[in-house]
Amino acid sequence: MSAMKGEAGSRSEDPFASLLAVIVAGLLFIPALIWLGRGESAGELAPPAGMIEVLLRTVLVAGGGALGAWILGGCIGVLLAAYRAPFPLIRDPLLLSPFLLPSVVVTTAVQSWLAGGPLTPLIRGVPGAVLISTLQMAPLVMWIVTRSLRALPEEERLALRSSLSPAAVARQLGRRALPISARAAVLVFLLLVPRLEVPAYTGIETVGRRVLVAFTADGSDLEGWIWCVALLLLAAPLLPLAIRAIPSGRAPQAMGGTDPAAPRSLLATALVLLPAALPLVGLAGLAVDATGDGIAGGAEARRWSIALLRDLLRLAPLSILLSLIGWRIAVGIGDGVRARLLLALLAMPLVLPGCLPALIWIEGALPHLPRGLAETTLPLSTVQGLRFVAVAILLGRIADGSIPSAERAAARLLPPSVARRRIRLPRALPGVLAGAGLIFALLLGEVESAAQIAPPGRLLPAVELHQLLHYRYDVQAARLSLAIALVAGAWLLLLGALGERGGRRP
Amino acid sequence: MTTTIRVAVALALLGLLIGILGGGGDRPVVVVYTSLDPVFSRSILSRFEEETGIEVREVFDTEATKTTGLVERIRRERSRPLCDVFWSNEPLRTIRLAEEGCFEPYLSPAATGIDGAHRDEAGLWTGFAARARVIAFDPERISGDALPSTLEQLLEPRFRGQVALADPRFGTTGSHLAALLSQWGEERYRAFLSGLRENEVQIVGGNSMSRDRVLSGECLLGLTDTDDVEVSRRAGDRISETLLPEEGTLILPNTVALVAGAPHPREARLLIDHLLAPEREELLAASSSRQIPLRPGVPVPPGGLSLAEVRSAPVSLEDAAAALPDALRIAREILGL
Repeated sequence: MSAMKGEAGSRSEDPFASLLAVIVAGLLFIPALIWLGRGESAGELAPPAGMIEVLLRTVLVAGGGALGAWILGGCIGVLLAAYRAPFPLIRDPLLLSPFLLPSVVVTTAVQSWLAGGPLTPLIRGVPGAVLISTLQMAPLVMWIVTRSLRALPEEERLALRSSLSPAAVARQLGRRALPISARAAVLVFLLLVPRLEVPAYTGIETVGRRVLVAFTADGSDLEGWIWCVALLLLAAPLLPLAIRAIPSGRAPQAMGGTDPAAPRSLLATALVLLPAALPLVGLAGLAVDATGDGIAGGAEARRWSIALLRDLLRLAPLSILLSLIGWRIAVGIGDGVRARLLLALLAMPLVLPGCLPALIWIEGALPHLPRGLAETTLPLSTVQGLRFVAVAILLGRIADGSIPSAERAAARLLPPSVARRRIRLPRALPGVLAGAGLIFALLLGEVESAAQIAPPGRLLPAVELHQLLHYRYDVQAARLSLAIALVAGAWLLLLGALGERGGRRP
Repeated sequence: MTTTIRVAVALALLGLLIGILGGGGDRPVVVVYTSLDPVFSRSILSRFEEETGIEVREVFDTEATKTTGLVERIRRERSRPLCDVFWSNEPLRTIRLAEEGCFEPYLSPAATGIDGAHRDEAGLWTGFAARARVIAFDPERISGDALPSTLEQLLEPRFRGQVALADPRFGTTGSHLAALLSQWGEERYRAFLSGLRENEVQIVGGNSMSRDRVLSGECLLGLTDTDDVEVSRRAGDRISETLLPEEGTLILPNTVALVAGAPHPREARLLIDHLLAPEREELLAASSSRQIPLRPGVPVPPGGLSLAEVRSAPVSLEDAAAALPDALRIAREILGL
């Protein structure tokens, strides 16, 4: 207990993270305040029509999706930790594929399979949004749960295996996974709250869409801000809640590895891998359809390859940097009220629709940038980085939680900066890199800010996918989706392998 | 390990820098924001690049914020525009931007033959190649005799819960409603929307989703644009459209405008001339967007639509543009959006 107190004390005394958080929050707030201060008539300040109904629907969709992802992803995660599945290197990217694919692809795929049949009610309205969100986000929860369970100390795992049956081990692991999976579900909720695509495709009105309408269609900015405040009050306080009390004191050696003592189970493997592989197989089948060569001849293929390569060059380092910054804030920030407030501030861009930070940037910062920079992807990268810094902090906290208590105690004997460099970062590196993989997938599929702030002439794969799906170029859309999933999967695989290496040789 | 981390961070920073800044060149450039889908606009813009050697940097919109996203971007970039040419696939929001002073006049010599109803007298915007608002249907589920010939027939009980309408706050559905308000007046417009609501109209995210509801059999009829129907038909789907012969069809031309304070004005004028050439109308008429040439002499391929065979609704684009905010406000109020 005294050690924990000492640790909390050392965290809250670290001025760097707080300062960094203040700067980031300030950077976000300044343009927002300028915008707010442009002077709209106070007479317009009234709650928008149907506010409660839209808010409740938003909570229902995001909460239902998070709950579904928690249950489904948690169960699969425990199953994977309890049993051994073959090909561990490709297993995680394969299982993550519904999450790696842009949500518009998952949504249109599910809807085209089920539309018109007896299951149609399942893909429309609130049930449809919940179902599709669950399918897409369950892999994220699964991934966090398996990572966390594999980080159990080896002696503890061996003890579990020797004294209990496999089913009892799974139950035991399930109990252990509860706190971390609950926090993963909170992260899913935060990601789902501002989403636009799935609700738009399932035909429901959520707060995110109201914000988009207010700022880009026919509403007033003031109405948009009222919706934003509602959204922030609803979601932003959850981030500190999710980050607080993430369990710490785990062994690092197994982060991402396979438990050698776990029994092999073909049934468990098939149950878990087949549903994940089906969408990819379906996409691959469609992608090789030669009849779809119409517009996507060599020129289109070249265009997409270049676009993907350029996005890889931009997003791969961005995701690593973001993950490192997130980890740094996570290890430096305390647990007090001030820290929670700062975390809530940092969560703001995450819970607001992506178009909003982009519009704030266009109006507040873009006019002051040299034209040469304004026409690059710097604005887009900055906005996307700000948007997902909260995810990076949460994943950073999870990665830091994998450091064993003994090493944490040893680190406290060193000056904080030395301890961070020599012990905490090397030990947390597998988790930090794996977090970078997830952030990369989120950045690659992010379309809301990309559509608003993409630099002229820069083709962004996720935006292109929207166009292809809209114009029924299904074969081309399948090819591009597959390419996006493969790039994201390969990057995840590479980071996983690097992390494993780093984790073994601190 | 710390050295490895430092090297990794340095490499990441370098990669980020290359990823962010890479891709520049010395060629003359023109920036175009276009809501016409890339599958159609790219070939036209590529041809311009080949003919002039000017690099075209384009920004497209997504289906979710069709046109309105780009309109808002132009509005917000007004203090320091990045865009030279705005090429919209619908006219009303262009007219509103023109009224707000976002464009500067340019009377293109290539616009000869386009009548006054489809362009601004001062040259703030010019229309070309139009789409029409239509009702999509599955010919095996509803016969030609049973189709509505006016919009108000959609309110009949036989179509209860069977009509899909795209979210009017974005794209051409909003323009359609604005045209109806300017044509009908407020009382009739309100009655129509109330009737739609009472008849359980299905509001969907976009025009393509309206079409998709017809394809999936969830709806009998879907209000959409000609191009949405045509691309689906060419993809082999069983779908057709009706042009509302009794009350006339709303024609929505593409519009092109020169942005005020455009960073590359010379190149922008060249691009506008290129877009307004009759050959571009011909190309769009032959494409799967099946657009309607506004000039009488432009050839229309078999299966295409010409202005002569479409009975145009008697709507002034300027009046419809002026009615747009009210039309959307009333639609939001009645349809509960």
